[in-house]
Amino acid sequence: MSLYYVLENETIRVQGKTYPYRDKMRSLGAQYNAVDKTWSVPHTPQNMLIVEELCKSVGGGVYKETRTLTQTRTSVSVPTSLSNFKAPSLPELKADENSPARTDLESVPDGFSIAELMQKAQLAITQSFPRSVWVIGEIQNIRHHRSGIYFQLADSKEGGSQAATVTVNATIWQSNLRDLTRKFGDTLKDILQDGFRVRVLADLTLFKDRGQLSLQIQSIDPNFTKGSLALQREKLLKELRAKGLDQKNKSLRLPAFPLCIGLLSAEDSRAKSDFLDQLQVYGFPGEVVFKACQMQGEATLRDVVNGLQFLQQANVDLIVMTRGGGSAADLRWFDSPEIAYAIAACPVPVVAAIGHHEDVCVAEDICFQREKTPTAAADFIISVFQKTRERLDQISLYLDKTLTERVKLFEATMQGLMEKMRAAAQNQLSDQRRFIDQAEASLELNWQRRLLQWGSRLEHMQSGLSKGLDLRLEREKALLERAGTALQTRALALVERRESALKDVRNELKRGAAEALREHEAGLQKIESILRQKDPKPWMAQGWTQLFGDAGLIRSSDQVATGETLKARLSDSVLKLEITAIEVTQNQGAKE
Amino acid sequence: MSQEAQTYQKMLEEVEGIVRSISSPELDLDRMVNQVERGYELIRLMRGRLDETKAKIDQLHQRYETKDS
Repeated sequence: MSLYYVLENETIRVQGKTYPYRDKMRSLGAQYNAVDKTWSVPHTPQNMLIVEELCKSVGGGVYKETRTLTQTRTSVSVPTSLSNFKAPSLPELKADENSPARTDLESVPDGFSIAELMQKAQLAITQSFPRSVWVIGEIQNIRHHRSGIYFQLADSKEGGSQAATVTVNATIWQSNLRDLTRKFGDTLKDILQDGFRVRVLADLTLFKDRGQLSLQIQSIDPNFTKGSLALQREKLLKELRAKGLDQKNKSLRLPAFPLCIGLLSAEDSRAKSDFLDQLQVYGFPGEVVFKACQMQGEATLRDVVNGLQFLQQANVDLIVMTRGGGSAADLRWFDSPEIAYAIAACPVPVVAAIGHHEDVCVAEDICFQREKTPTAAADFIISVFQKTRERLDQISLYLDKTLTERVKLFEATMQGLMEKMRAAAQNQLSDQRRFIDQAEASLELNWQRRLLQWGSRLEHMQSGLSKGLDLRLEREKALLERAGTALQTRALALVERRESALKDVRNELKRGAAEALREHEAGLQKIESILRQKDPKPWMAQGWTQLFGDAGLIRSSDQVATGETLKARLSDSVLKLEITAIEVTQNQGAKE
Repeated sequence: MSQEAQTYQKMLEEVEGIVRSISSPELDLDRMVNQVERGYELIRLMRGRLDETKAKIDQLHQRYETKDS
């Protein structure tokens, strides 16, 4: 058992297997009704999204009540929405009292076999739907085969999952597909997409083998699908307008110099390269933060929403969301509320360049600026710089003009002030000149008077000084005379003393010198006396001499030997003597 | 000390040395004779020097006496 919800009187009523999700319900502010075992959740867009996601995640969806065909013995149930069909609905069958099915049902007391039942049902269907009928539903699980296109048509339950919808198989056989393609061209391809609500002309058939109803598509109404998409788009726009979100991104202030551009596009796409090339051609001076994302298919919603958030966090000045060619049907992703709310909540201006189409997507409608191509988006960014420059030029011109006027005004004011100052200065100068002349005259008078005073004082001082000098000179002269006399007296006395002393010294010198000479004379006489005593010449003259041998003076016969040669000095010569004999005398002892 | 005084002093020292040498009993006679002769010569020179000195002193004294008077 899954979870289902239904919107009742501004309350979202959730029923089913809610026990595992009771905490989640409470967190949404829901209250549990024990009587009917449902949760009543306050209806807000946020709660609605959460409840939808929760129900989808467990295979549930929007709750739709069914009516049981109590009038029949079978338990076949038909959704009430089928009652909208122009063809007669199944419940109407019971009112037809003449129908063979009614007759057969009543005539078989024990019941039908399955084959009989299928046969009867096929007959009833054929009788009930003798011609093709227009059926409205949402395409699901579309598959392309060589034999044709297979898909399921489901009641369009907004926010509901496939499991929660009533579906019927549908087929466009190849032969019909060729006719339809010839008739509608590429429009057919754009319409036959999962999730698209279509109005088709179909034959209702029953496959008896599987007991399964099937629709054989004969034709299709493209205008219905387009209208449906437009209706959804208009509904979303109305909702956004009611919340004031349609102008939110448009009202943002575009930076004067968007130097950091966020780019949302498919990796390696032509749109990306065209955008970047165009920026490069114009010499874009800033940087581009690129965020790759799918721009077609189911991943578009998630990637674009995440990409917008990523670029917001990257602090870009402007976000460019662009895609190249491709199926126009893929533009429907940009009509989704997810992308629309993401753009509305984005604090950065968003420029959308997502296709060359006439219809405007919701994303384009509410974004800051819509451009047809990536190149045009780049041109828009460059134009922002140009507009800023033009604005700056205008401001510059305005400032220039204003400043020129101000300068002229200032110059005129200055000129006036200067004239006033010149006149005031001249007056001041005249006053000053008069004052100076008066001061000069007064000064001259005072100066002459003062000169006379000073002259008289100087003469008086000169006379006094002359007298004082004369007195001083006389006093000094007397002092000098006295000093000269005293000095002469003292000098004469000193000279006399020096002369007397000198005389004494001279006499002393004379006496000392004479005494010294006498002492020397006496000394010389003494030495001379000694020399006279020692002089051998007198006693040599008397015949005395001395004998000398090789060993020196001979004093004893012991010092000589017979035959030895001796020398004897005379006053006039030296004799050499040879000893022939030695005779010892008797007074030898006396001699010694 | 002046050159002359030195000379006089040297002569005095030499003659005193001669007196001491000739008092030695071992002195050779020839040497003694020579020494005595040298002693006399020195005495003669020294006495001449003393005479010259005396005359010079007298001369100086007389010069000063004349000047004072």
